[in-house]
Amino acid sequence: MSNSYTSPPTLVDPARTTAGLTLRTTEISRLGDLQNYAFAVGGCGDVLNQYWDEDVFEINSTSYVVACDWYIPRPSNIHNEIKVRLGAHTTTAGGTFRFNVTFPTSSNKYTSAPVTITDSSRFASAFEEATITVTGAETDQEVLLTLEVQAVSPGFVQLAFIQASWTKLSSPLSTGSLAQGSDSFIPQGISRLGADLPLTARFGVETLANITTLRKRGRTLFQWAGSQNARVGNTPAEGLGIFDPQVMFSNVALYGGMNQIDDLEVKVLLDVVNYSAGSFIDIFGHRLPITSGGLNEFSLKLRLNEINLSDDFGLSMYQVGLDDTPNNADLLLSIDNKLNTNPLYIRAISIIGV
Amino acid sequence: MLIPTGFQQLPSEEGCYNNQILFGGTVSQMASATAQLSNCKFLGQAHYHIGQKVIPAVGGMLSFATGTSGSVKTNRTYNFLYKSTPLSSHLALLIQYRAGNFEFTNVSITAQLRATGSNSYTGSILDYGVIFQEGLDLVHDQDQIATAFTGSELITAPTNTSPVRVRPLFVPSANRGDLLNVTIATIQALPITVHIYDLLIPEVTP
Repeated sequence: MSNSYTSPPTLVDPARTTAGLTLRTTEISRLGDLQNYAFAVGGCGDVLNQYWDEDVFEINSTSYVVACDWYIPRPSNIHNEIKVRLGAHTTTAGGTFRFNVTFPTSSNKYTSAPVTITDSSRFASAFEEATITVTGAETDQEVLLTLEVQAVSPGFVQLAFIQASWTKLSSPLSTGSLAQGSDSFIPQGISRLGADLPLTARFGVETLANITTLRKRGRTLFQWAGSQNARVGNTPAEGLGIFDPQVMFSNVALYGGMNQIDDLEVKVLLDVVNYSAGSFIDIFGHRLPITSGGLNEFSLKLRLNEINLSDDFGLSMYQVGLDDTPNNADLLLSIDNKLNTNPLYIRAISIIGV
Repeated sequence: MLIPTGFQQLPSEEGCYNNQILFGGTVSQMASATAQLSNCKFLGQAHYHIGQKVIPAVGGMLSFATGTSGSVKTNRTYNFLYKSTPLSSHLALLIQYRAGNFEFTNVSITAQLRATGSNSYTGSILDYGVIFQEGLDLVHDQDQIATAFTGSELITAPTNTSPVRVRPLFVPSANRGDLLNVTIATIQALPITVHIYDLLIPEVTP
């Protein structure tokens, strides 16, 4: 028995499962195959993207310092390999970077091997890639990814972009119940769904449970993190500013039914600095109370109207991100709310949908 | 079959129990819900915000009209990595930008699709891509943010060898699932955000 899957996947023909037709093993076998595919591959696209224009973000520390950190979704408890690609160059040879993945529940931190940045000018030749393999049994569905950079004197490292994705699981999936957070997924043995074998009640029940689990799997809808430890004289944004509601959002598909089904919500994770009580931020049509420094987490139902792009994409599209409101204008960094006066500010925002 | 785009109600679990008649509709609902996951929900997307310099004392973006943020009067090349899925066939681009200076030069934004062998920025060209042109696709207003969009037409494999009028980028079947590079070159236009989307194929032959 093998929990294998086909890639790209083969779909089940719903016209073959209607009344009056023989229920063939082809359809049932494909249904098992497709579940395995969705568990193995789903959510292994981009989970983190951010960019800095030319000369914007440079680090010259000669020991490792944090550049940025983001909360990213993890597809399942057995997706254990993540790759980070960094576009950067170093003005003195030997600049390096590494990244950490921290699991909030266990506080376990995994660190990649240092990677030497080879380019000496912007986009000269190649981007760099670093890998982490998670070796412990971790259950968090959102993890903290931290980028650390080290330069060589007298030079600096200039960052251009970061991109990250989890590695898909190979076929066949391992046997037994697999976990996604606290939910389970039972991979389907394809040969058990073949001819001359009974169609068990177990298959139907597990299929429904598997679909319910996979519907909850997170997708990155928007990521942004402020810069930390830039070299003196280099001035990238450190927090969300008054201009950002015009650009700090994504137009993304959210799927009908998420308001009617439990546990299908949009998560917003904020990293707050200089906390003071009584502040609110408007995101995705909700006014959210900021209750502490550091991580503030919210689970939101959909309450906005669709946007016109729905017609183009053939999907229900929504604008997900910072709202352009007077409240946000008061909260975000501005000429009247400068960073050097130590106000509360938002250092990072992650929006993760289903 | 039509790919569902919503989380439809699932059939009753009891309908799967022993001694129950298994209706075709039950299996059909399972098939549709699973296809929604594989061919709709788990399509890829990437959302890049392009940071600019800010006034140090402020620490955040004030506007594009003040401060030390990027100038529209530059020509630059950008590389946006994109981890495609096995079902990524067409990539739509949504670009927020500002542009000006139409009267003195031919302002444009060009997008191409490249492979990333050896992590190179100049991997083999998979799609020679498209060009957003002033007056046709780009708006002349350097004080406001505008949006350029490739549209979502499900084109057949293109054969052009230089950029053409806007359409989605096409991913050859051999490269689906690979790490790709969407290369964007600008002439006196400043991209602010770049969003990359797999397009939904609404009807698939099983």
